[in-house]
Amino acid sequence: MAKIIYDTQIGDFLDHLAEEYAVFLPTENNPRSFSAQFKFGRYQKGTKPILNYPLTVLPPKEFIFPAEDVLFKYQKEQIIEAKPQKQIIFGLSYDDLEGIEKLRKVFEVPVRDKPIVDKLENTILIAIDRYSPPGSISFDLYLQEIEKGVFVAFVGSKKGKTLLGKGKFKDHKIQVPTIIFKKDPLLNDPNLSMAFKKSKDHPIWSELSKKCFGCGICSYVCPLCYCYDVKDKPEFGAESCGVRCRTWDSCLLKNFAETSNHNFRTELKDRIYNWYFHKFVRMPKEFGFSGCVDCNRCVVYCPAGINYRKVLKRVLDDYKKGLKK
Amino acid sequence: MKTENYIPQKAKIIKKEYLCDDVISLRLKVLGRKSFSFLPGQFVMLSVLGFGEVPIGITSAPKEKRYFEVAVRSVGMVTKKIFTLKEGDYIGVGGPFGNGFPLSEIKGKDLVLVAGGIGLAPLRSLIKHIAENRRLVKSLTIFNGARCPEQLLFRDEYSDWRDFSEVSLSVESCDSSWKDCVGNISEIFGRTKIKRGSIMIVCGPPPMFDPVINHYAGKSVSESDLYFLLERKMKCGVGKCQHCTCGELYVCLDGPVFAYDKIKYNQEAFK
Repeated sequence: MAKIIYDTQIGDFLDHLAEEYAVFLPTENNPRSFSAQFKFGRYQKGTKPILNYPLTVLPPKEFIFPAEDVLFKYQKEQIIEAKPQKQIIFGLSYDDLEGIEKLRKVFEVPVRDKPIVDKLENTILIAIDRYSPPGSISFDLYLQEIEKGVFVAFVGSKKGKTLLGKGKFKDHKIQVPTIIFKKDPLLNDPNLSMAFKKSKDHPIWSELSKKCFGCGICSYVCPLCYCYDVKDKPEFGAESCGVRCRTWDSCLLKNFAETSNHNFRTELKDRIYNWYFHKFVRMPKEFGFSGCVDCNRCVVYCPAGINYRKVLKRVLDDYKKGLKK
Repeated sequence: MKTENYIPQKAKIIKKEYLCDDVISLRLKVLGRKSFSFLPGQFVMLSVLGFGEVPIGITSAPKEKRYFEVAVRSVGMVTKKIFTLKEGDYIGVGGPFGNGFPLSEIKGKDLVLVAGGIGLAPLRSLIKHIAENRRLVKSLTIFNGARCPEQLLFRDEYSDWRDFSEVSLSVESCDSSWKDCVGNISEIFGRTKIKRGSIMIVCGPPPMFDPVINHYAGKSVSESDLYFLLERKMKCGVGKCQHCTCGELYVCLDGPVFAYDKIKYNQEAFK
């Protein structure tokens, strides 16, 4: 037996969810905006949800690890810890779900990052995609679209199970097709990590540095870039009050590795190498997975038109050629 | 598992002293805590609400747990603000973070400390620890260099240190009253012989590293007995923010103290 819901019933389901939670889902951007057509935004009761969308400009990491997140407020000497809100992220794609899952691991080990883990614990994830639900990635509900406008619900947690009561899910005897999500095979190449580890002196980094603006867009739109800066923001007119924020940073920015008397990565080619090194060497070593879910955002939004798949391929091919010699 | 909430603990400045014109020493007492435990070579995040936080090495002996001391050089916004704080004012403290100096490896060995400028500050914690546990090492030699005599930190303590160690000084510029070495710290290397098999710990600006490596690494000091304390501007101290990475290593988690053989081929460690 499969639990089925139709596209026409999802608005009603969301209305029920929105009574209890802040619900975020893909929304259409301002049509005058020159960037993406879709972005995650707050659900407004009664509006028609978008169930098919190509890609949002920012990944849903912005609800777990926001661009500017208040760590705490301060009033004179008193510190007030930030409290996470109960929220639902609705309509995540398979790869965005994977992005959140990996981000969870990043902020859980080796030291548990309380503000982010607290946010995750207060977040319900409801995914929608045409692929079969992932076996190893956690979610609360997963709606697999088996034909246009027809969704089969898969329950991934206790919370997810109780949510079924909020929508008009009906039991049907149907065969659910198995559709496996496939990443670019480059990302599963067993030599990938070693190829990047050994490629510091590859000419590709200085070639890329001639094209790359060093703007950091690729970091901001990446579901798995998570480097950050910490800043205090005093209230104007009441400087003893304010907030301490964690803000998105990018290792591509010139001052990223600057200390009081030295900059350890002055050259853009070294910063580009570090960007790849983090994703394909440091993260695999630390967590057992790479820092890429193959979502394509950095390709779409790079103003220099840099495509990581081409970089991966060239570094891998040259590494393998070197092995054969 | 360790949890970090990034909320600084409130500490009171119970003593403030100028070590030179742009470096102060602060003695801090963390409120609501009977003891503050740390290892020599570890660092804390000092924070001033409204200004931000900075990683700063601990300079006091670990035996004293009621308070701890730090040396702060005035360079950026946060450290400049810290300079304006007075005794009795409050400051935020996070940590301690990092691995600290290799205390078990130095046991019973001839130990050489090489300090450049404010690099002496974290080493002072170890020197004071040895002062209280004189049998910890077989012998202690301190090479300390600075731009000028006035920039030598903790000058009034050198005579105490000489009770249990040999202290050699060098400065880059001075007047005729200066009797010790003139030039950069490698001037001392040529003049003072160290024992074969010594353990060496180096803490100072990156330009100091090459002369040390050229003179000692794999010669009188084996590569696994030569340690460097690396400086980076961490924003978290717990391996998240990525500001302190050197290749696969995190200075905040794996360091800040590294054996040379572990970072010899790490192209980002010595950049």
